[in-house]
Amino acid sequence: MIRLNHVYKNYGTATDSLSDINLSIARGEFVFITGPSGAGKTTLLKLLFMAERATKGQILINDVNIGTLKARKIPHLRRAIGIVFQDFKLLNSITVLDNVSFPLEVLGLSRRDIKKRVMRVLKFVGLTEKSNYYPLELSGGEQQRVAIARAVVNEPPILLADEPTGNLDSELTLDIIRLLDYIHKKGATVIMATHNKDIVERFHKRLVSLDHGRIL
Amino acid sequence: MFTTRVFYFIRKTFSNIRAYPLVNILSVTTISIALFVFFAYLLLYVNLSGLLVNLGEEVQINIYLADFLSEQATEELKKDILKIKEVEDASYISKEDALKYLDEIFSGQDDVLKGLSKNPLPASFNVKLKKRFTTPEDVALVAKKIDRMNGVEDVVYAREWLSKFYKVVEIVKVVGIVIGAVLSLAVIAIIAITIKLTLLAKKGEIEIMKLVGGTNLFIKVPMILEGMIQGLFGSIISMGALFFIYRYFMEHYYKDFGLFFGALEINFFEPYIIIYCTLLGAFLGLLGSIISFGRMLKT
Repeated sequence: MIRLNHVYKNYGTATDSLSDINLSIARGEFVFITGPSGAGKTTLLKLLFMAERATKGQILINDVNIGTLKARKIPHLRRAIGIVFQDFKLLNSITVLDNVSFPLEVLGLSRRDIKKRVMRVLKFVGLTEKSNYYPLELSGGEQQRVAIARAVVNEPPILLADEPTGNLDSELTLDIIRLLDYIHKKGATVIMATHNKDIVERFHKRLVSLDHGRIL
Repeated sequence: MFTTRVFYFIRKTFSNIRAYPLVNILSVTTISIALFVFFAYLLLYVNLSGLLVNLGEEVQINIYLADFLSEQATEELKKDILKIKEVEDASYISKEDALKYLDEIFSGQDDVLKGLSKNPLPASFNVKLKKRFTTPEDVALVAKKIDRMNGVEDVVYAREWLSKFYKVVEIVKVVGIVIGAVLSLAVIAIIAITIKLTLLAKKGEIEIMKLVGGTNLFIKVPMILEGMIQGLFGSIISMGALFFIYRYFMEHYYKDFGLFFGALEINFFEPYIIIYCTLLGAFLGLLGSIISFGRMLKT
């Protein structure tokens, strides 16, 4: 499903942020990308959802070489990928319901369909009661669950999570990982970047370790 | 799908305005102030131009006739004058009427005219030109043509005044257009910068919309419509404010300035200008947001 062949990324500095990355992830896999800060975890995810382009090498998603994708096609690629960030990236000026509705509005669904699907996914993450709350009225763990709900509401086949538990305490961390695991079991390919060794040891998933931009 | 999108854009535009009330209030206020200055200038310009047009219409040529001219010859002369294509009208003022007019001017100082043994004033024609032919060149040409006619003693018109007046008209026109153009550019720049600020406030939202797969068009349309609505509200508010200030001025101060303004009437905009100006506000809002958005999505 996802293949990286000899991928490099350089931001104009003396050293590469990513160097000669070769990686293959099958459909339905759950992969932890680990490594210390600055290892290149976030950069690797950014290449996958095209926030950045690789300096060299080839990235294939569903056999499509995304390096050759035109700028106007990027939104279509992103609709197939759910993304969860450490800082949640929620809009604090609108309600939970409206935040989660975003990806479905992009797809041009009717209001009724949007509401139905959003309520379903909020039930799935346990936040039905809080659909009319604003993000800042929620705890960190709840905010991250809203972000996950937004990432999966349009049922993308791929879910990327960049340190999704970085701002949460250990109990909430387990909650979130269990939720991601559940999404994985329902068929999504999940790629999660983390430097939390406890998680990696507790959940027995495929591990890709990065250091100084290289796979160990 | 299409109607869903259109409804989405409209809904989103208004929910954006609701989501950022302070930013929108600031933006509309700034646009109102910028447009108010522009509309106030326009009102001044329109009234001044109107005054100049009225003055221009009053351009007249006085033709003094020889004393020996018979009634029939006078009639013939009038016909000849009216044949000139630039001439609109020629009104006859007899010797007696001229004296009566002079008498009115010197009423209360009867001694001035009492000493006259006979009426020294000549009969005359007061020639008015058509609106299209009131330039100094036209007037001089007509005066020359009439001067050649039989029975015409003298042709008098305000040559100096006329050429000065036209210089003033030209200057007012050029200065008016230059100031108008500078003000328009300033208004567009202010609106573009203001809308850019509202867009910066939404940087996070734009980023998230992009991450969930929103196309540029999908992100742009509601925000561009928002700029248009800001421009529309800005122009309605500034036009309303200008109208109330105008009314207040006319009711409380106009008569105090009577001497200064003379018979000049100060009018508010015609309804069609009000509509154009309001639409102009919406258009400038649209233009401002397209300008600021174009750059923002590129970066």
